[in-house]
Amino acid sequence: MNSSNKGRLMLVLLVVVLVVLPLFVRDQYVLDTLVRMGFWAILALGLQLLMTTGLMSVAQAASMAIGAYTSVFFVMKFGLSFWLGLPAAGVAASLFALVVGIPALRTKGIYFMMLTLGVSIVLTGFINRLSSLTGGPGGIVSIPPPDSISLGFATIQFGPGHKTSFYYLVLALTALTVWLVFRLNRSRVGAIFRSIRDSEALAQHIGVNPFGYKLMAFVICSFFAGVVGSLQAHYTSFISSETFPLLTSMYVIIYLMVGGTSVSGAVVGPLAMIGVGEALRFVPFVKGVYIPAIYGGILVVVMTFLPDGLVVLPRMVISKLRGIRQKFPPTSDNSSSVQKT
Amino acid sequence: MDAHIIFQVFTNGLTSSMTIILIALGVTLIFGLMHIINFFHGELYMLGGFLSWYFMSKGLTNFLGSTAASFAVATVLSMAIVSLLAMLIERGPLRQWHGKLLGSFIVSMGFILILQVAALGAFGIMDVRITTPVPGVVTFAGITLSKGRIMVVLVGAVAVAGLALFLRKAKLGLALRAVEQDREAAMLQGVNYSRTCSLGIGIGAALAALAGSLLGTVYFVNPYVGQDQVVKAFATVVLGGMGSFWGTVIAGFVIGFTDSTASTVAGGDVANMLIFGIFMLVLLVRPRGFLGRE
Repeated sequence: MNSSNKGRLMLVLLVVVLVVLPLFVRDQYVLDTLVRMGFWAILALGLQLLMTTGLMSVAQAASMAIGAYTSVFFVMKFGLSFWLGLPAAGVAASLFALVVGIPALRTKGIYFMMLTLGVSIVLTGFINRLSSLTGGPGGIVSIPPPDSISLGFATIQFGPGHKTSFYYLVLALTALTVWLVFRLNRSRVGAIFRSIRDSEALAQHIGVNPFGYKLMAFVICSFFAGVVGSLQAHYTSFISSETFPLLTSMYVIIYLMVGGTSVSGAVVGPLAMIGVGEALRFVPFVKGVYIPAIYGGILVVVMTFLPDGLVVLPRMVISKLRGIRQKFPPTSDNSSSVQKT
Repeated sequence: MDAHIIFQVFTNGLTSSMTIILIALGVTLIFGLMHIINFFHGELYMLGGFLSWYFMSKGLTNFLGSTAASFAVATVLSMAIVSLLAMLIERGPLRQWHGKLLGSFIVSMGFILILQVAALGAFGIMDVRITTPVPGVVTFAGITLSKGRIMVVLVGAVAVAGLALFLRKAKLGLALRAVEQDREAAMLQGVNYSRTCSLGIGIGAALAALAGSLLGTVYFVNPYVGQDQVVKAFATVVLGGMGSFWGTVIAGFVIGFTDSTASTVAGGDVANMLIFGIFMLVLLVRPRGFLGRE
């Protein structure tokens, strides 16, 4: 069995495990952790797509906030269904990215990142000031869970007693995002993204408009973040200006870099980090507050010794075991945007 | 609007500006030397404050009698420790990211988390205040000003002037500027790149720690004060021109006064929105800032 088939088998296995999991695991805590992993995976996937063009953003949290508040308004102020609010959240976040991106993408990479930093902070300020609308720092409470779906023979309910439904929702959306980003990376658009990252001047010479493609990547990334924002709002039933701080954006970057700037990395990163974080809660002398330091330490270690992320580890181990010394050729969805040399 | 209030607002602005300048100078120096972004610079400021507080409140530096002496010793000690820490970090994980803005930024985020938790564990989560060595107020012409704030401004000014002089006249200072201008040419003239970088981050860290110690006497310190300051410092550095000493100083005054005045008049959120609004405008219109070169 060659490695590609092996990879596919493992993927199918993983999907099967994830799908049947709730039948065996009733523990809400485990489901909750998996849901959160799904959130971060979607965020990381969006960021990965953006990084394929060579850009970096710390505005994911801002997009999340826009999505969350949009969805909450749709449902709570206009009485619409969550199933309208969710896509609306994505669209709102996309529009936000458009408004920000059109001026911002004219600048060089590092300045663009600084702009996203500024945007995050200004948006937090806005949310606080418009407190009559947004609830400010106090936030909005009692956000209802997604509306029940009636399928004729059964009704799928969401809410506190029905975490399983939400789990499946997030699982489906994560799978969808993985598929989308994977396909995008492999498509002509993905190749254009990478060409922009590698050399914007050269890309222009072959007829590519970098601005348009960078904007596209930024908008898609923001769309995903907006959707996650909405999901989180209706899952935790509370949002405020403190729910989406700059730190959240930083964590997306951290999780992605630990996993590796690829589709698999974007999933593995959050899985590994959150997995480690949760596992450590059960270790007696490790207090919950120390966990961010462990995340920081993992990030530093990975960036220092394994800058391509954790996903290259299996290949390294296997090739070492085979005693073959070879360089790891980058596949089309596995090139690192952070180079050491 | 009587003179009294105007002067108070002015001193507050000066205090804010001085703090921001001290921190931002470190950021700009480090960027100019090594072309890295160290986002954990705010945590160095925070640790400086906490360490000073710790030495003073545990009576470790009281052996000289007066509070002023105690404060001075505590500050110098904390500057030394934070400096050493920064140099260790630079020599270690940060060394391989010289010239890589993105990579250094990401790694520095890891250190933000590590240092914040370290401070949390060592010093607790509560706000602490350092006993000011110069309590009380000074009154002249009917205007009352806090001595503590004046001290912050004066000491800060001395530090900035000292750094400016150092960079102008001292051999090591010139070496720093040489590396900033042209790393290879400097090395050809015998400048040790590695040691110069260590010196650079050491100085930057010391300034940040000094700021933390000074400001700890008029405001407070907790594990998260670094975050607030570092984003303002970065706004300052960009506004002034990344790598420019005097650009940073000028921008520091602009941002400091804007922050302080807007906070007093309209609250912290509006101040942030104003500062970062200006910041974004500058990035869009003139990204190299006031005196930047690139």
